Parts: sequence; structure tokens; C-alpha cells
Amino acid sequence: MIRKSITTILFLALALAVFSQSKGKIEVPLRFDRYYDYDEMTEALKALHKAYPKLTRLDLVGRSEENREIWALTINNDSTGEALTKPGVYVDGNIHGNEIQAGEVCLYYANLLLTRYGENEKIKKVVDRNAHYILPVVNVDGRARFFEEAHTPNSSRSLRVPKDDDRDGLVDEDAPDDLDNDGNICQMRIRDPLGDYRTDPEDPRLMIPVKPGEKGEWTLLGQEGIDNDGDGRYNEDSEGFLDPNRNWGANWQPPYVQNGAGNFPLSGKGTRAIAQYIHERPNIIVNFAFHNSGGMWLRPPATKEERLAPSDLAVYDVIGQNALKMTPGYVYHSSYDLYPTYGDTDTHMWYLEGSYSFVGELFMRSQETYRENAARPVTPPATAGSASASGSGRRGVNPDEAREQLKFSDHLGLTELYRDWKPFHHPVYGEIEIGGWVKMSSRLPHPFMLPELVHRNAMVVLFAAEQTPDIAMEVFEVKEISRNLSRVRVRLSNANAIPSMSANAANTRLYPMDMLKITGARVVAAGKITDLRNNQVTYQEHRPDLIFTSVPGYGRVEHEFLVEGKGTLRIDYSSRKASDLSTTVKL
Amino acid sequence: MKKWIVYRAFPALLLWLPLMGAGQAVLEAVDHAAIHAASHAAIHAANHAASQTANPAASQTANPAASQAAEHATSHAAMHAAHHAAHQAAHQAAHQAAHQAAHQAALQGVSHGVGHGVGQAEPEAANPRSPLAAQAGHTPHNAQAGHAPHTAQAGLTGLTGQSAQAAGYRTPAEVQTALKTLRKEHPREVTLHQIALSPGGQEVTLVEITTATGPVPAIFTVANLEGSSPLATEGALFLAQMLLDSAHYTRQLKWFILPQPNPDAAETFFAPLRWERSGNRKPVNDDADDQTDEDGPDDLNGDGWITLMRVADPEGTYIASPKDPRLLVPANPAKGERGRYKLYTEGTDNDGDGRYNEDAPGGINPAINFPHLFKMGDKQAGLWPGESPEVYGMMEFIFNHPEIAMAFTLGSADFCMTPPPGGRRGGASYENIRVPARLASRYGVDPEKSYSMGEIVETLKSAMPAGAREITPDMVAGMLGLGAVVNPLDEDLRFYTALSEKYKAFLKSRGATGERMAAPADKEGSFELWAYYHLGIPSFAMNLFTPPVLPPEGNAAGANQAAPSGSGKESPGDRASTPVANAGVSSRGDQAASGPPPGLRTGTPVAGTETAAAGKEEKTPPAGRKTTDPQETQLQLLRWIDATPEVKGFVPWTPVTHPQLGQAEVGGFAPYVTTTPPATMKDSLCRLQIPWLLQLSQQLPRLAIHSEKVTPLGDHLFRLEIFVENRGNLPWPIAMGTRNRQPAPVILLLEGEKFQILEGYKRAPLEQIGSNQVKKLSWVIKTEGKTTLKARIDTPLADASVREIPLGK
Repeated sequence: MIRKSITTILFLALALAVFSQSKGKIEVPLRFDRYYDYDEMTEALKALHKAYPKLTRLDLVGRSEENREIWALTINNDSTGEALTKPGVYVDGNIHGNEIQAGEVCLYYANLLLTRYGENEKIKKVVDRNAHYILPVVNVDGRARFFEEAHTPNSSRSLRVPKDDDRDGLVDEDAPDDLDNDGNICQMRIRDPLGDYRTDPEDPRLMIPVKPGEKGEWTLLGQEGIDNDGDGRYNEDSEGFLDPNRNWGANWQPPYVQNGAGNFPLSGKGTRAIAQYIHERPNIIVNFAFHNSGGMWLRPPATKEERLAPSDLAVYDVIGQNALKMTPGYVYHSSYDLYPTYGDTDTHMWYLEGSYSFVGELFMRSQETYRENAARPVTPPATAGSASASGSGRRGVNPDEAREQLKFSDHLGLTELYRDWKPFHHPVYGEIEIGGWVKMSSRLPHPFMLPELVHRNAMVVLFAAEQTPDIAMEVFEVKEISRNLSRVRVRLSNANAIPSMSANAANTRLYPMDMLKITGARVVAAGKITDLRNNQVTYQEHRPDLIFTSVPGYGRVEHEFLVEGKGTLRIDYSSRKASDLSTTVKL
Repeated sequence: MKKWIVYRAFPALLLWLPLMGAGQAVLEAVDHAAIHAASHAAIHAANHAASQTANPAASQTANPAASQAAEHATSHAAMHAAHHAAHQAAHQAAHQAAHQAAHQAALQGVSHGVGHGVGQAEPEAANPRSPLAAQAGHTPHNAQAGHAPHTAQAGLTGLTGQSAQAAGYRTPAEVQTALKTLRKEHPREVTLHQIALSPGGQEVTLVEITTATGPVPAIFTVANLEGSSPLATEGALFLAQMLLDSAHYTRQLKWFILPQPNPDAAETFFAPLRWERSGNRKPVNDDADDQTDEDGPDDLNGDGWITLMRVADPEGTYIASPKDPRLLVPANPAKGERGRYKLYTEGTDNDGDGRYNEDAPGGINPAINFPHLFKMGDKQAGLWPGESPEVYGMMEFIFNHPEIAMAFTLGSADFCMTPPPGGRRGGASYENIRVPARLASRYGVDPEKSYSMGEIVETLKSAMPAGAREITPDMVAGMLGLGAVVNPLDEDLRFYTALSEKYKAFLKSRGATGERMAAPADKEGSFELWAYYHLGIPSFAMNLFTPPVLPPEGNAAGANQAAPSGSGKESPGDRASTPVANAGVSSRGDQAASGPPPGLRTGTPVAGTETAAAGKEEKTPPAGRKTTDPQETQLQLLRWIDATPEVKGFVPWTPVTHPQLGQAEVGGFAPYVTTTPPATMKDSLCRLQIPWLLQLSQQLPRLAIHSEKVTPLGDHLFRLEIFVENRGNLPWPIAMGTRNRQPAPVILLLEGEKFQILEGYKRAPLEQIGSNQVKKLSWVIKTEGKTTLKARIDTPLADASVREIPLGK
């Protein structure tokens, strides 16, 4: 009995060590060799706001199902213009409660912009030119409980909306249980000569599948837990399930089409508040939603029915292809290439808010290396026809990879990532063993790796911010073409990759296009110059004082006005996403 | 011109009718307007006769079970007598109808049934001398009495007939008052819920009616989501009143009734300028220019209505129809026809962009803001499903009430007469599933072959550890992106078809034998589709009024035999053959461009008709969703309008000088003509059809423990069998509910002490139970000595049905 208590205490100490040893006072500049729990995350945002009151604004966006506060930090230099007048960059993370390092990436981005402003030109430029909206934790309940409670690396993903997953009339009544009180939901195994697994001869902590005809040693019993509701199934109705990244408005489909969709679009309290917050910031033109894991940059579309216009795809590729090089090992492709999703934030932001939209799947386990040459794979590539070595499929775990991951935990992870198998007396199964990868493993980098991860990924956001439209307006010709008629030609050019409006937004007439407006004289005709050298102009039939236009990425557009009389003309360019411009011309 | 005078004098005529002798009234009516509908004359005669009987029942509140005779007289008259008058010997028919009705009513002494059913409260109320005036106060529609003087005045002073049309229907404010009155008068049965605030700042109020105390199934009823069907709102209030008049349908049922979910649009029906619209008051920049709501229609001919404009134009594509010169039809160049007119909604180009009425005030149409088949990109549908607060509030309320087991929609679509149509492409199939190569190896299947859902689930299950989370078809469907169900499931079509046959018989038994124009098709993003596909419960839409179909000239003989539309040879998929189907309730957009008859729903601005027409492709309707010749439906509509003088349904083309287009002509069908009959008909229409909803409510599953059987197997070992019965005529859940796993599960719960279950579960799911079916659940139980188990049904749908089962000795 005493021995058992001691072990329990030891385990507790060990578990706590993973995320508490590096805890320190929260002060600016913030540290990133640690994880912030929900309260600390809020505290850190408040600390940044306190340290840079002029550059920041902290908004309470809404509250969650469990009444936790959802915060967003705006970084904007008011002296260069109000936030809404600048191209907006929106970053959020941790929409899945367990994907916590996404929050740290957002926090790091804020910390980077603020602490290096004034000493780094690159940073100064994006702070002065853009509005940055940073919402580190979307699923606040999920994050809070991921830290507070025992979980697997994959649980606490849901919103806290109870749902009867197993349709027995009760909600959330059979979640996994932390039988050994170590703060983790690990695996259960039982000795069984008829089992499908045997002990790995190279590392006794691991099991390998038996070959046909071979004698087994273990049967895996699934996640740590008991059959709380006595229905013969284990852990089949845990929290939720409402996946907040399937609950958004665009292309939403009900739960029978896609599990976890929620009852209807934006039925989640927090997701609805955030959608509203975003909708009130129509200047947002590029956005990132950070998740874990797998090392991926995903872009729309998320279903096979949708496609991107070629010009939009080109813009995505500028950012995506650069992101690949900034985060070695990541892949970049459409969200659908991973699997179809409906009602995800990516689709919502792209189709309904007109924002170039990326998902960053942070971290991949292959970065947990224990070998001489990190570039060389630990085992030769899987041969054709064999089960895929990547991905989460159970069948595909490569024993060499698992062995290396364990060595990584032993020698670099301070043995904190894996829990050795220990006997346990289970009320139904009897003598079993509990062990395996802990909550803070698998999808999360060990804290020592966190600084590089947050930096590389935040720099991709910075790169995208740098690509937001930078429009210049130039009156390149004022010419009297008859006694009382002048020709005024205006060129709008974009120094960056992202156009002033996506082709999709323009095609679907999502919102008004950019406008070029002349006041101060009577405009007789206006049009678009289609061939400057040959003087080809397409005049519009109506409203010659107002031209609707948009400026492509790394491109330009030229317009012409025919104006009567003399005096000073004022030309205004206004855009929902790009900054407004104006100039005057004397005739 | 003479006709117009008669039309305008008509309300005045009504006013005096009750004071005349029945026969004289008919004669007067027929004399003054030769094609006057016999129904009204007959009804008034009946009213008068009934009032003479002075039966004490007359002061009673409306009794839903009015006598068969009265029903027959009123429904028959209201819906079908019009063509008797028009095409048979007018005098004779009118006399017959009048005498018959009066005679029967007097004989049976059901004065109220007639007086109320006919809904002539307004003119009567306007005349203090009318013996029926006092009675009007007892009808559920008494709030409208205040409008009656307007009616009379309009008629007498020769104002437009339109205000007379609005009178008799209740404004959103009056609906609020009516609901508060219900609550005040029935505090024990009625609860009001505020479920949303419309963008225009109006409360959306839901009324809950029940006399049950325990858990009972509930029915959610919504009316007039389109805002353009005030009759539907009246229907919902009529239903509420019926439920309060007798507790028969509330003892085992809870009703949630939402009579006015779209108050913003509903209010526009009562506006001085009338054009049919469904959008709420959220500002939406339809044309994505620099201004919002800046180019709505304009009343150019000053008649208070928005209709159409036709403009002679060398590029015109329309010609006057050879069958009726009032109608415009697309010219067919292949037949040597050359277009003459361009067609626009009535109005100017207010913002000077070359388009007409392309950004009218108003916003999202809640009737198409629901998630099933939501039309992303359609500005009228909203940016996303539930963006409009009325719809969000409804969905939230419904999911907070899992006891809701059936849904009724009073509006444009009709699933009562004809089952919901199929024929949509792209539905998910669980029979032939191809697994993409990238997942095939993980699933252990061949990417080149097709599998059934069952096979895939089994394959995946075998790869999961013991006791792991269940692999369900929806998980697999999600991973594979199989998509949604888009057509009604065959198993469900069976009950829809059976009930539609019963409905036709029901109508026939109540004297409604004539043919009416088919209801518009169900709309994508509608509540009625959402209720079936996403809630997985039986969803019945009912359209209370479409114009009657009259035979063409010289073909009157067959008219009486005409069956209700949708019966007979028509297959379920055919029902979109409806005249109004394609006109929809679109209050903006390219109605004229996309095939449907231009100007059928003329109140609808045909936004930028000409602009939109260019470059828009006509969509071919999916297989199984046929459309009929739009011209034919317009001709039908004209026949009815011509035969029914109190319906001012068509504005003759009259020249106007248009500021931008020059010489133009304004005319076409009047707003609301296809959705809203004269208010005089509303009560008879409700009385005829609303009781069917009560009948439908009786179809709901009724679950109880039927019996149990205990078989001793050995020492303290028993097999327990419990038989659960469903005495309703519908299964629970229906096939769609089984598919989407959304309806509340039904669990059989075993409680007690000193027992152990060896086989079976403490909470045993019933899964699906058929209609009028008994289903067995069984357990093997070991007891410790003598004990008594309690078996109980656990579901929000039914009162706990408990059995005590003694086991052992």
C-alpha cells in the first residue's frame, strides 16, 4: 500500500514536471521554451497589451460554453492609420483543444511583432502597414481542460457541448478514465497468448504485431478506462463531440455526413462569436489557422466539388511554396488532398470573408530524431503495396520509427514522453498493464523544440503579411484632347503577391470591388485601358465617375477618364482590403 | 372600363348583402357582375339565413368540428363554385348554391359554422346593424375587426382594391397582440417564447400549447417563413385556436407554433406600396456596388402595386401571346417569331447603373436560410445557413427540444397533397462505395472495387481494439466524403404517399372536389426540407391556397369531375408541374431570366430583368422534376382572375412615360395574387384544411410497454422478454432519422437491486420500431434471491411507461 502511494506520487511528480518545470513568471518578452495553460495564455496576452498599450488592443470576443473568455489581440500602429483601413492579417490557433502549440505560435507572433518593433525594419514595416488580429485560443474550454485533466494526445479536441455519441439517451457518460492517476490517458494491454502482439525484442517497452501463425503475447485493450455506463463498451461517449472546425458556415454538412459538425452552423457559442468578430473586420485578406500535427500547409478547397480559380491558386502558391522552404519537412496542398471537410474555418474564410486562408499543421513526429544524420531516414522507404508508414493508421506504425521515438524520449526528452508499462488491477479485465505515450507527446514538440517551431511558423505568417496588397496610384497622363475635354489616365499597381481582391470574391460578387472615383469635374466617360500602346479603351456605359476595379498581385490595372472643364480633380481609390489612396490633378 | 367600376364597387356590395334577402342578394350580385363568383353570393345568403335562425350556438367560439353540411357549403363554395358561375348558367348556379347552403345551415342550426367559416366578419363588423357584427368578436380573427372600416371605405370611395385585400389579415403587431391574448386567456395551456429579434427589431414569438404534464412528443409548426403568405399566418393562429377550443389534441401532445417567423417581410404586405418580397430588413448590397438598398422598384402608374414594364425594343425577346395578348411569351425564332418587347420590373434605374431595381431594400429570406441544400452565393439566402437571427433562433430552439417529433410548415410548398419530390442528383449512396486509393490500403480494401457500407464498417471494426469506440456509418461517410442524402428515402415515401391519398379523401369528404393549381416546389434551403433531412422527422408542408383551375372556355362540362391536382396519374416527381413553382418567392434576382414565366409573380421585382437575362443559362430541371409550360399556367391564372371579380389580379398594360426607357407600358399580374386570396376566403380555407394537421398529429408514434414474459432458466436465472409497442401509424424514427441518427433514441431501462445482467444491457436501445409494431427486447438475468425489476421506457418522446417485474421466489 505504501509502495503504491509512493509510486503514485512519483508519477504525479513526473507528469507535472513535463509542463511545470519550465514555468516562470510571465513577463515581456515572453518565453517560448514552455507551454502556457489557458489562464497563463490570457495573462500573457494581457502582459503584452500592458507593455505595448499604444500598439495593441485586447478584445473580449466572446465566451465559451463553459463561460471562459475568448481573447483577441489587435496589433496596429494607429499613427499610420486605423486598423480597418489596412490589409488585415488574422491568425488563430488551438481550435482543437488538444492542439496547444498552435496557441504558442500565435502568442509568439504577437510577441515578435511587439518586442522587435522599433529595432527591426522588416517588423516595423508590417506593424505599420497591416492590422494584425491574433486569437491564440479558439477552443478555450478544450485547452483549459487539456492541461487540467488526464487526456490522450488526441482528446479534449471538442467543444464542451454534450452529445449522446452512442445514442443511449445519456450524454458524455463514458469517457476514458485515468485509472493510475498519472494525469495521462494511456493504453491498456493484457497478457494473452492468443493476442495479436508480442514484445519487441529490441525494446521491451514496445510491441510488434505477430506474424500469421506466430504465438502472441499481448492483446491491446484500448484507452485507459472502465465501462462507466455498463453497456459493454469502453470510453465510447466522452466529451462532445462537436468539432469546432466543422461547425462554420460555409459548406456546412450535418453530423451524419461528417461526424462532429454540431447541430447547425455556428452552433458553438465561441465559434459564433469569433465568426462575428471576423465578419466585423472586412479588411482581413489573409489568415492562418494553426493546428497540429503532421507538418502541412493546407489551403482551400476542402471538398472535391470546389476548385480555385487559376489566379487565386497562383497567389496561394506564392505563400505556400515559400512556407515549404521555411518549414523543412512540411508539405503544401489542398485541404481536400488530406480528406474532405465541410464547415471548416478555411472554407468559411475563403468563400465568405474573401480571405486567403491557410491551415498550418504544426510539428511532425519525424522531427524527434535520434540518429547520426537527420537527413537520412531511419528505415528505407516503405515498398509499394505495404501499409503507409506515415499517417495515423494503426496498421502503419513502423517499428523502427517507434524505437527511435523512444530513444528520443530517453535521451532528449528527459524520459517525459513515454510512460513505462505498469501493472494495474482492472475491475473487469483483472490484471492488466497501463502504459504508452503520454498526453504531452506525439503531437506536441518537447518544450526544448518549441522555440524553433513557433519562430519558423510565425515567420510564415509574417511572410504572408508582407505579401498583402500594397497599391500605388499614379496619374500617368493628363492630356487635353479637345478644347474642353481632357484625358486622365490612372495606373494602380500592386507591389505584392496578394491582389486587392480575390478572383473568387470578385466572381461571386461577395462584396463591392475596389472603387476609383473622380470628383471636382464632370466626367464624360470612363473605362479600362486594355492595350495602352494601341490606345484601346473599353468605356463603361453608365456612371462614368465611378469605376469598379481590382488590382492583381504583382500587377497593375490602368483606367481612363474623359473629363470636361478645368480645375482640380480629386481621384479616390478605395478598397475593402487594401489601403485607400487619393490624389489630385490640375487640368 | 365598365368592369373596373364593378370591381371597385364590389366591397360596397358585400357590405349591403347581409341586409338583403338571400335570393335578392344573389340576383343583385349576378346582375352587377355577370361573372361574379357564386360562392360569395351563396355564402352571404347563407350568412343571412343563419343569422335569422338566431341559434344560441352562434355566440360560441369557433367549433372545429362544424357540421358536415356547413363545411360542404363553405368549402365547396369558396374553392370551386367560381366556375359554376362563370361557365354554367350563372343565375341558376348561384340560386342553387345559395339555397342549398342556407337551407342546410338553417336545418342543422349551425349558424356559426357558416358565418365564421366564410369569414365575412369584416363587412359585417363594419355595419353595426348587422346581426353578425357582435359575433365577429368571438372568432380568432377578431383583432381584424379594426380593419373592416377600411374595407368598406375603400369600396365606397373607390380606392384601390389592394387595401381591401390586406384588410382581413393581421399585421405582425396584431399577431403579437393575438398571441398575448391567447396567453392571457389560457394561462395554463399557453406559454410564449421569444426566440429571436428580427433585423427590423421585431420580436419573433413562438407559442407553446399543451395540457399534458409529463413528457410527450411535440410538433413544431411554422407558418409564412416567406413573409408573403399572410394566409399561412392566419392558418397557424387558426390551429392554435382549435387546440385551445378542445383539449383533445393537447393531452398527449405539445405544440410549438410559430405563426410569424419573418415579421419584417410580413409587414410589407400591409405597406401602401405593394410588392411581393420575402427578405427581412438586414441591409444587403445585392449588386455589390457603392450603395446598399438604393435601387428598388418604383410605382410608375401610381396604382400602389409593383408589377412589370414592357418596352418595345429592337432587341426585345418577348412577344404578346397569341393565346391571350395580355401575356408575354418568349419569341421563338425557329417558328419565325421575332421579339418585340423587353421586360422589366416596374421601376426606374435609381442609381444610374443601367440596371433596374437590382438592389431593393431588404435582406435575407429566412425561408431559404436553412442548412439543407443551402445555396451558398445566393445573396437572398444569406451568407451562411442560420445567418438570419430568426432562423438561428428556430434551430436553437428546436435542438433544445428533442421531443419534437414532427414538423409542419404552412407556406408555399405542399407535402400533404403530394409527397416530397425526389429526382435530385448527387445523393450519397451506401450501396456502391469506392474507397479512394489513398485510404484503401489503410482500410484494407481494393480501390478499384465497390463496397457496401456494411462491408466497410465490418472491415474497419476488425482493425479496432476490443471495447473501442464504435465504427458507425456516419464516421465512414464523413471520412470518405460521401455527402448528404438529397432525395426522400423510399421507405419514407411510403407513408408520405399513403397519407397524401388519405388527405385527398379527407378533402373530398369535406366537399372540396375541384382542381387547384399545384403548389410551388419545395425550395432548397427551406425549413421543410431541413426538418426531414437534418432532423430526420416527418415533415409536412401545407399550402392553404393556390388559385382554382378553371376549364378553358367552352369546356365547362368536365369541370366538375376534375380531381385535385396531384391525384391520379401524376407521379410524385411531377408535382413541380405547378404554375407557380418556378416563380418562387424570389423577391430579387433573375426570375424572368431563368425560364419561369415572367411576371407571373409580378410583385416580385424582376431585378435587372434584361441585364440578368443576358449570359444566364437556363437550368435544366433535374430528372423527375418536370415543369409545365409556363404560358399554360399563366393562362390558367388569368381564367381564374377573369372569373373572380373580387380578385383584382391582373393590371392591364397601360402606357407610362419612363424617365430612362421612354415609352413603356406597365401591367401584369398583381402582387400576392397567387399566394393570398381575398380575406373573405381565409376562414373557409383554414376550416377546410387545418384540421388535417390534427389528423396528422395522430399519426405520431405512441410508445409503451405492451407486455413482458419471464422464463426461468435455472437457479435464479431468467430470460426476460419485454415487448414494446408503437401504436402510431408512423415508425420511430422514420428511415431518414435512422440514417442521420438525429431523432431522440428510445431506451428501455432496467432498474432495481440484486440482479445481474448476463446478456443484454441495462439501457437497451430500441433502435427503429415500425408503425403499429411490437418489438421484443430480451435479457438473461441472474438474481440474488427474490427481487423486483422496474422496466421503463426512457425517451423525451413518451411518458415513462413503467412495469414492475417480480423475479425469483
